[in-house]
Amino acid sequence: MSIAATIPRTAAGRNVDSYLLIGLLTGYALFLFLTIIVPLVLILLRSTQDREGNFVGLANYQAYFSSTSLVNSLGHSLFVSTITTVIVLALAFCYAYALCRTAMPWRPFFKLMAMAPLLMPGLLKAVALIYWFGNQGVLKSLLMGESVYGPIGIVMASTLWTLPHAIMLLSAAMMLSDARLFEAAACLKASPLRTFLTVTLPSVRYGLISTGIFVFIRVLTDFGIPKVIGGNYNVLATDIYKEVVGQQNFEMGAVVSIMLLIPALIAFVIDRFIAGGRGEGLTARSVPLEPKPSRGIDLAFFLYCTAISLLSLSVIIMGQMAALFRFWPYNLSLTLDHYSFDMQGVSWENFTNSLIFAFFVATWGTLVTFVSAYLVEKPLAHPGARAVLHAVALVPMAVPGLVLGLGYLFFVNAPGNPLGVLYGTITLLVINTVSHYYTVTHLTARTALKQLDQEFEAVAASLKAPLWQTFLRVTVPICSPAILDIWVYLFLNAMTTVSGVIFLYGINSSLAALAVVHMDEAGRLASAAAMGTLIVYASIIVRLLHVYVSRLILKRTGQWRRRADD
Amino acid sequence: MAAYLAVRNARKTFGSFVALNGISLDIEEGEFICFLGPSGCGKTTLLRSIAGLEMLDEGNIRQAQRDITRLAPSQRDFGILFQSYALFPNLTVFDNIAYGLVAQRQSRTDIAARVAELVTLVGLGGQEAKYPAQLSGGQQQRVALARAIAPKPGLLLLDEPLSALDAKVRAHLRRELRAVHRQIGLTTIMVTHDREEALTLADRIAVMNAGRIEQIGQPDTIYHQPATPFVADFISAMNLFEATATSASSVRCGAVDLETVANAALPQGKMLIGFKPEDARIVGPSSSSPNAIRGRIADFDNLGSIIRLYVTTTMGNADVRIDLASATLTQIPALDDLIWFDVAPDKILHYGVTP
Repeated sequence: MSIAATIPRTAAGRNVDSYLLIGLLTGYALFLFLTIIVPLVLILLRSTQDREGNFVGLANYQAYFSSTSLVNSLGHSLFVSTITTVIVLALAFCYAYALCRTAMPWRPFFKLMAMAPLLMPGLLKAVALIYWFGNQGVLKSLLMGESVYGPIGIVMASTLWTLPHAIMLLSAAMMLSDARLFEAAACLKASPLRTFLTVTLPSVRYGLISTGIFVFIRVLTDFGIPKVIGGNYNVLATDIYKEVVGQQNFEMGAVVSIMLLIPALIAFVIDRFIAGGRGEGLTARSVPLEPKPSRGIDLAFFLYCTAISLLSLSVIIMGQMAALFRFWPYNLSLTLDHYSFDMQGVSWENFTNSLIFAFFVATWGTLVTFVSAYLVEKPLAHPGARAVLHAVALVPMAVPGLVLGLGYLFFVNAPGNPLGVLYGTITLLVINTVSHYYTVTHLTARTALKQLDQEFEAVAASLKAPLWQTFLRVTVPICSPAILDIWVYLFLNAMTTVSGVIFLYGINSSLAALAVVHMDEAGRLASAAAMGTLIVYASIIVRLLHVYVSRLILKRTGQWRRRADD
Repeated sequence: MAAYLAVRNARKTFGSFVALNGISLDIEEGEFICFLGPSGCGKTTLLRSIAGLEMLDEGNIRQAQRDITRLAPSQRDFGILFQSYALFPNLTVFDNIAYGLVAQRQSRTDIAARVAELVTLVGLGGQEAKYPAQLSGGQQQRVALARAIAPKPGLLLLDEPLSALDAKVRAHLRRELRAVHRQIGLTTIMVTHDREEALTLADRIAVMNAGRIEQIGQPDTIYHQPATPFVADFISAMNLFEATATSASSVRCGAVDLETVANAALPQGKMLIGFKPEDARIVGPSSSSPNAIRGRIADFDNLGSIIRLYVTTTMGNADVRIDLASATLTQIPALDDLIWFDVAPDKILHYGVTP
């Protein structure tokens, strides 16, 4: 069954190293199999069964397509995802362009402003938008009679939520620009427009496409925002929740999951396909671009970035104020009452649970990711098995959190499964979250490992040093910044994740982000916002610690990280 | 007695590309041997197979009477030096050199003594506490050399160790490598595409092409008696022309008749004849030499100590390359000058043409 069976016997000589390697690879294969493959297979199976577990073929799918409301949701999902993608790409491109390619003043400040919203969960942004534009909102009139509860709200919140990521991705693409190309274009007397069309755009073409796909998948598969601000406008993600939690119709939940999985999978495959065909755009000889001042352009971009920053700032501030106003909009005196969380099933324990949960996700996730990425990337033996494992590691990227979570639910509830005892425990939430974010962390670790000299392992083998010794003495110290990045990435995401864990939490393992959803459901928006701000502050503290520790590492290791001056 | 390292019928393919096409080779203990050839000739694959970094599809390798064909790299006995140095950047020079000794669980004092000895050997005394990034390329490669030989391996493998260095450092390190080899007498295999490097360093050179060994022998033999047109072209940049025998000691080459040394082995019918650029001599138009050839200077390269002429003749389509020592020239050649040159009969080599 497991992939380990396909491990080829390349080196007949067996020593401690090779047994350790085979053991670890097998364990890793088992981990991927249980945490990713099995849940997905269970979803597929369940979607072809009736309530008694009999095989009914595609009957559930027929039922799905004969239900107008369910089919509408599919259209809704694709509609809001597409609109958001277009808006975000346009906004992010201009912002990233301003940051990377103009001499606009205050660029570091605007970079910070672009990143600041990253620390705010999408849920809290949705709550803040309700305060601005909702039925009691101050700016309700701006919507000209339209309701914020619906596609407008979803698109607005999703835009705010994905914009920082998009700006980050596009900036990365634009940073990789070769000044020599621009100089060549100028020397050949190309007009600014022609330079833009022939040099600027092509160099960020792949960045634009992959950013677009990233935004599309994020919005398509998101659950929190449509849940909070979607009103009666159903999308696939909220449908799964309603089928499973509201109607206990697991079979239909599985069908909707598949309907959500398919477009996500297609988008993912397109992205991989394009990424595969991408050549090396930048070589070691490239000269970084130094933007030249141009008064008119710089001023225009300055105003644009100011507007975007004010917009996101207004949402951030409203998120905090929503938690402090005594009774919006009638009594605007400030209070901390909303932080008492006096509601059934919600307490400060949700927040402490979240901290513990995020700590375990980050720590275990980093350990598993880095060791497994090393196994896939570095040893010389078993190339076939390593390639298969790498391919499986890419799967979670395409699987929406809700779908994976539902698969886990089926898995632990399967009769006779000894792992059923995990249901409702923090452990299960940790495993689910680690595998949900697995692809990004795996790729981060792999990129860091790829920068290491490919010959380290060969040299170590010739010196008869065991693999683990080189791993601990050389690989880990060199990759320590990347390891830290992975830890922080997992911690921050674990603090805000909802979709992965909403089917799996128990009485003692409810999390802060889940509490936000539940309090919003109960109409207690202010308390929801209060819980949301706790997540924000925890994230800010972790982020600041990250900066501090990174500096410490760089300072302590700067002596050998500095490159020789040729 | 059997050779220290014996490779038999080694075959290795990558997809449809044949990297090693049935290679057999014996290397004696203490020998310095170079695998020389253009990129893609299989020289690096052969070295990596000896190291265990690639596994042969067919054939076997024995080192010190032990079959190592299927052993993992860590179970073999060798030290290796890469073009990229592959020094551990987070470890000091001392810790890099001591890396293999630590793995052997040697005592601290033994390690310190061995590292001190090696640091002196490669001329890096006083640099032990530095990190690789603080050293020059040449110094880094010396650390890598010290690290490779620290555990006293039976075999030293060098994978284009000098290619990443600039010309001056390269020449210097080349001499040092030779000195170290003379001093410790370690069996050494070096892969290189630089013929000068191979000629100066090696006791024997194996010239490789398309997964096969074209010729193996001492540098002198390889240079003066290349066994195949490929070796002649690669090692000596030899002038090669199609010819047919007209007698036991003469050939016709294009519109030119040339005398060669009387040779019973001179093949009948089509063959290739060749002579080295430095074996052609400028002669006067009234020369009585039987091999005087007239030509027009189509181009020339001034290489400082020598001047290389490209001369159009009636021998064939390709220009004849002629190397002249600048010091012997009374006047600098000009384009389109008509000149006469000759090649001594004993300097003309011939090769059969495989149909």
